[in-house]
Amino acid sequence: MTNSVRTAIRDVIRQHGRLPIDVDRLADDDDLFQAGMSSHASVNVMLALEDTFDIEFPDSMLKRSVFESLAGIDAAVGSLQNQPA
Amino acid sequence: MTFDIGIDLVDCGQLEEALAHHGDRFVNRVYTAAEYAESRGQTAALAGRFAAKEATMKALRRGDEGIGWQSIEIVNGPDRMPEIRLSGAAAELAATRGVTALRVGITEGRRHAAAVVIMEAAR
Repeated sequence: MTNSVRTAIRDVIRQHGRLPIDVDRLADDDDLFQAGMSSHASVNVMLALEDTFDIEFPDSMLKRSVFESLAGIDAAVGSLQNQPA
Repeated sequence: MTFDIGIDLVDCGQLEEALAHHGDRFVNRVYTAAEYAESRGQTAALAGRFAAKEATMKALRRGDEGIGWQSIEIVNGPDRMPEIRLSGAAAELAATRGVTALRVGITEGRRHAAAVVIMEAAR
C-alpha cells in the first residue's frame, strides 16, 4: 500500500475517529478502539473511507479486525480496491 | 442455562453530526426501514436503537464476526416495548451461542441514549 493511501486513511481517522489523541502518535498496528474510538465513530470512519476511496464495505467486512488498526483498514481498502468492477 | 449482558451508550450530538455529514447513507447502512419509521427520524430514538444494536453485539459475545447493523433490528413489539429481531450473520451467531431469549431496555435523553441487553442461552 502506498504512503498516500496511508496518509488518506490517517486523515479519515483524524476527522471521523474522534480519538482523544493525535492519530500521528499511533503506530500502524496500534488498537484504535483501545485508543478511544467508539463503535459509533467507527461507522463514520467506514462511511468516510467509502467516500474517500470509492469503495463499499460488505457486511462480512464489518468486523473488529478490519477497523481496529490503521494496518487493518489499509489491508481492507487494498482488497476492495483490487476487486474487479 | 447461562446469561450474558451487553451495554452501550451513544452521544446524541455525535449521532446528529453523523446524520448531518453522511445523511441517508448513514441511515441506510445502520437502520432498517421499520426502525427508521418508528424513530420518526428523531435523533434520540435513533441513538437509542444504535446503542441497542451495539449492546446486542456485546451480549452475543461477538468476536471477529462480520455483522451488519441492519441484521440486528430493534423494533417495537405488540406491547410497544422494544424487541430484538436478528437476521443474517447476527442470527447465525445467536444460533452458535445457543441463544434462547434476548431482552433489551433503552433509555433516551437529550444528550445521551443507552441500552442494556440480556441474553439467555441454553448452554
